[in-house]
Amino acid sequence: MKKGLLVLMILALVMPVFANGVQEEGAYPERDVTVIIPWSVGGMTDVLTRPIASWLEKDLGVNFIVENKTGGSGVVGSMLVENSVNDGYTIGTTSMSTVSAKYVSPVYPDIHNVELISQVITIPAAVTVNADSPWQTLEELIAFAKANPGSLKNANSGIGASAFIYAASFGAITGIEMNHIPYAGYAEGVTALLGGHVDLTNIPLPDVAQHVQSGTLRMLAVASAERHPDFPDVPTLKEKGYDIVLGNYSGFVAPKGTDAEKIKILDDAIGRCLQDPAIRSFLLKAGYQPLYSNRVEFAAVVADAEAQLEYLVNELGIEFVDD
Amino acid sequence: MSFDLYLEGLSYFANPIMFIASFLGVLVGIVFGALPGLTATMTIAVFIPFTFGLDPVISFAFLLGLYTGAVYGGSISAILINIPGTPSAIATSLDGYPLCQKGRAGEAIGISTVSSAFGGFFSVLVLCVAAPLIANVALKFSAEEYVGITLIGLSIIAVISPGSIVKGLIGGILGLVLGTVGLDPITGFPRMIFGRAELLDGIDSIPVMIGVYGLAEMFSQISKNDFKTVVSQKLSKVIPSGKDIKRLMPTIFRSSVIGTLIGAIPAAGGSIASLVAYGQEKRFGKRRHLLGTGIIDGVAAPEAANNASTGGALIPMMTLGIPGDPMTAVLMGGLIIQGLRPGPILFQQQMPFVSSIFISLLLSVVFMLVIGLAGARIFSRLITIRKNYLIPAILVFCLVGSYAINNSLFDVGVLIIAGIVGFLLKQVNFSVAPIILGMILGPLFETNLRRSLMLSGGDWSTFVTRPFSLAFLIIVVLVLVGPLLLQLVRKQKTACEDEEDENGGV
Repeated sequence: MKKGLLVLMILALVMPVFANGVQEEGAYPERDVTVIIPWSVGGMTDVLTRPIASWLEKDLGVNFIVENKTGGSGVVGSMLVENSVNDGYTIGTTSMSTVSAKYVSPVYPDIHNVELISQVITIPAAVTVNADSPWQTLEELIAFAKANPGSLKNANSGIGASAFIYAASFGAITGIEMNHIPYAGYAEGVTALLGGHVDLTNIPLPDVAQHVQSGTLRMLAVASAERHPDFPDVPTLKEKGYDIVLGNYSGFVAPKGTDAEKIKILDDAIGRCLQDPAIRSFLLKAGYQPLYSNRVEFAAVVADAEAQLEYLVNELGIEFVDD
Repeated sequence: MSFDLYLEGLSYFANPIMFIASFLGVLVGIVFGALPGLTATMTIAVFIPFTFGLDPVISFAFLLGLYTGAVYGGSISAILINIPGTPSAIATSLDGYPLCQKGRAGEAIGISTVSSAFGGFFSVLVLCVAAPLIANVALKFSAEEYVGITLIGLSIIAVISPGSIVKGLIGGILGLVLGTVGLDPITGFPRMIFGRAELLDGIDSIPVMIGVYGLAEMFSQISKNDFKTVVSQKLSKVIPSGKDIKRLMPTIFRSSVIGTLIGAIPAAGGSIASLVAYGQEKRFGKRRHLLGTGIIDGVAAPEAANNASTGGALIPMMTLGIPGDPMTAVLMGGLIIQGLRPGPILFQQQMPFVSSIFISLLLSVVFMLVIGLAGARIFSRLITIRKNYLIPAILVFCLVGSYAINNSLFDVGVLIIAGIVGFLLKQVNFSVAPIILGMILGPLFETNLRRSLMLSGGDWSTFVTRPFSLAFLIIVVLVLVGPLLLQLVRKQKTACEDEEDENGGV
């Protein structure tokens, strides 16, 4: 009895070795595609990627297995995507922090080491204050900041992280000096603003939207190209004379050298997905602005982000790493 | 908040699937929570993708069951094999494991179940009645107050170190040092990462915890080379007697209040709550001198607190859309994926759904009580399995669990190193709890200390001019020098009494 069990167990352990033995080339995709998310379950990228992945499953007829490989603010997972086999069966997600990582981390992914597939959303940064604060308009806030340089406390999501980049850019273009207070993430930064511990934040719209709607926070401006459909009364920074668009994006990438045909198949499918009204309304409800750009247009968006960071670091001398 | 809307939430429960979902959630949660290395956060993260296709109300009945079950389940392995299944069960192992070694594992699990259920029940009540109120108080907590809370947590290291306080402090400092690895939380400067991307976020405390508790325990069992003897377990007294419960009621109540409040403060969570509850028991409990030797008071306090923190953590999540701990952060992601963003808007506009969440949580507390008491006998029988079967099985769970946290082999390396170090420390009678506490609390303390000083413009007086912060600092001082003062007072008192006696004698 015992010997029989032992033999069975050894067999069970050995079987998987043969499992992936034979592979034939057919029409792509013919087997499961792994989607690596370098950020955690329930995070911004996770929330928007999963519904898109399950839409792709139905469209392309294979499983899209979502794996969260967290660590190093996305560095670990992004580098994992870079180093994956470029057979089209492993893809990943990217955001602006993949680009900004090189200013912060000693080991970092390079967006030029991957093939862009498509962009799916954009998240505009905003200028938000507490509803109890005296500032009713952007002009009043900026006038106060100019009269009292360095006194306004701006909650960001960590030095070098996205909200810090928005705050630094906002300060640079409006010519105001602020006291940048780093928090662990968007939620913590917004909490500090709700509690009145800081004066303003440039944390993007999805995280402040419901507090603005419920009347506890006041959004003075949004840093997108056009006004947001949910907040038609909030002006853009552009309208106020500051020619700047700030915000994050999220999209799909594949390891360098992935067959262009396969990339096109994925890109087209994602494009169809973003046409689906159900997906669009889901993304809008969750606070994102659906924005599909194909692999070529996405390259321009990434290049813009790179230029913006270069400008901040080289022209304005903003240091992401303080030693 | 009108009562009618609460009742509307009740109507969801006409569907029997709600009960099945909640029951399954609790059951799976207990099993996962009890397995070393599978933390409550991970359990929820693993199962959230399965709930996407379900109705949000049903999926939340299941997820809240998981949440409650996993936080409770962590205590089972802490009691049976001295491996906290989740960080919030660290304090439970301090008295739970000694109880098990005395053959009273069933009783310890019984007490843990009843205390957890009371803590959970209490926090749901608070959540229903006073959620918006408490959330607004919690908002007033800025970096200064977090400094106070983490200091209370750290000061408890001195209290819970069995035997030598010096060894406890050495362990605590070792933990603090380990906690500094990774990107500097304020400036982003990489510290002690040796060029490894895996270290950017610091050393994950979970594999270290599984290593110094689980692996080290298994190593020392193996080195004893005694696989045949098992501690026989008394299984008669599983359901705690009314007398015990009555005696422990003040402890359980105090701990439930502590757990709910600390749970409601964003970023604090169950591990600090259970620790503070254990610490106050050690300071003010009736049987404090016996704490650590294996008494049920030491199980009741942390268990009531960590389950009370579950309802507490839902307070800021439901009312403000701010997760109270890592677990609720994952839960919140689950809600957002369902198209429901928790926060003031959801709270105002979707009251029936919100109340269904409260009722689900209550239901899961009931199921936890039932499954826990019914299963206590079976759980404690597990420990009577012969060790040459038990040890390899636990080792496998430790390895799998630490890999699964970030799907990273690096963490397995951390686990093995921590296991070897933990084993060596055990040989010199070192308590490992302070190391883990230092690792968890150190980064919180450092970040908030520096953030407070940035907010105040470098002015240290900010810590004493803010009332809450001052109150917390006073508590820290009391925890540290309280016993000395008490001794001093007692000495003088007895001295006076002696004098009086002498005078009386004359």
